[in-house]
Amino acid sequence: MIVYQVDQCMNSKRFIETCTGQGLVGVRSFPRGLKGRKDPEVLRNLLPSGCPLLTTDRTIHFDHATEIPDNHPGILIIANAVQVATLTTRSAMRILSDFKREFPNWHDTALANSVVELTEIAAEVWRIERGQVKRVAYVPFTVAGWQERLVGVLQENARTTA
Amino acid sequence: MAHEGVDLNVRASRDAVEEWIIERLGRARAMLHDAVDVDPDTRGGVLVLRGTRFPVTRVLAEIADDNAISQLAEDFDLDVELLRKLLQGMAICLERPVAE
Repeated sequence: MIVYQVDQCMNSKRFIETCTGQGLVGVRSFPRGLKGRKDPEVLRNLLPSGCPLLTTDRTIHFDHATEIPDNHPGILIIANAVQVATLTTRSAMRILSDFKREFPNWHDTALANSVVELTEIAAEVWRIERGQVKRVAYVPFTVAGWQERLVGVLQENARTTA
Repeated sequence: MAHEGVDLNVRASRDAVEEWIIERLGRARAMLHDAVDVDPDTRGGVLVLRGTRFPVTRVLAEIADDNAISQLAEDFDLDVELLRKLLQGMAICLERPVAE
């Protein structure tokens, strides 16, 4: 079972209970000792735990690419496609719920070495190579077979080793 | 003479309003200073609640999404007094931006 590590912005008891209640993944709450800490410190502390990081920070990989090793457990960013709306717990849960409904095997898919931004309309995937962000794929959910394409992209990233 | 008296009264009234605004903005600034942090290395430099990685925009969006601040504090383990200070500081800032 994959265990996700939430950033403080996703450290909602309601969200964590909902995610773990389905029994498909585990979720670690945000460590109290890292509250208010800067992005590099958070990345340095959380990525070595081996759990993919779940955040709403859309620019964390661009802002701190040098803090993300080529081999890492994965970063999953939940975001709104509609730029005028600010993400809330409710909208994040709706995005994840729709994604899971359309992609029943999501919980078996490893995110290793991938940075994935998940919105209500698409998944965008990057990987980090020696401190540089490389865009790998944009997978819109309107295209038939997007699930297989996404799995393929993530598996390819997971195989990539430094 | 009566006309000059009226002018003086209007000026005194404007001065009082400006003084009031300055005092209110000063208080709002102090409240927001206590409630908000900004650092380019924390959440990409967006305003966050002081001592957290929780964006101020998220606080407002959660409230717009029918979450009371007490619920928000409980759910995210945030300081409810900090949330109150943030909202009160913002309310003062938006109250009356310029003297008439």
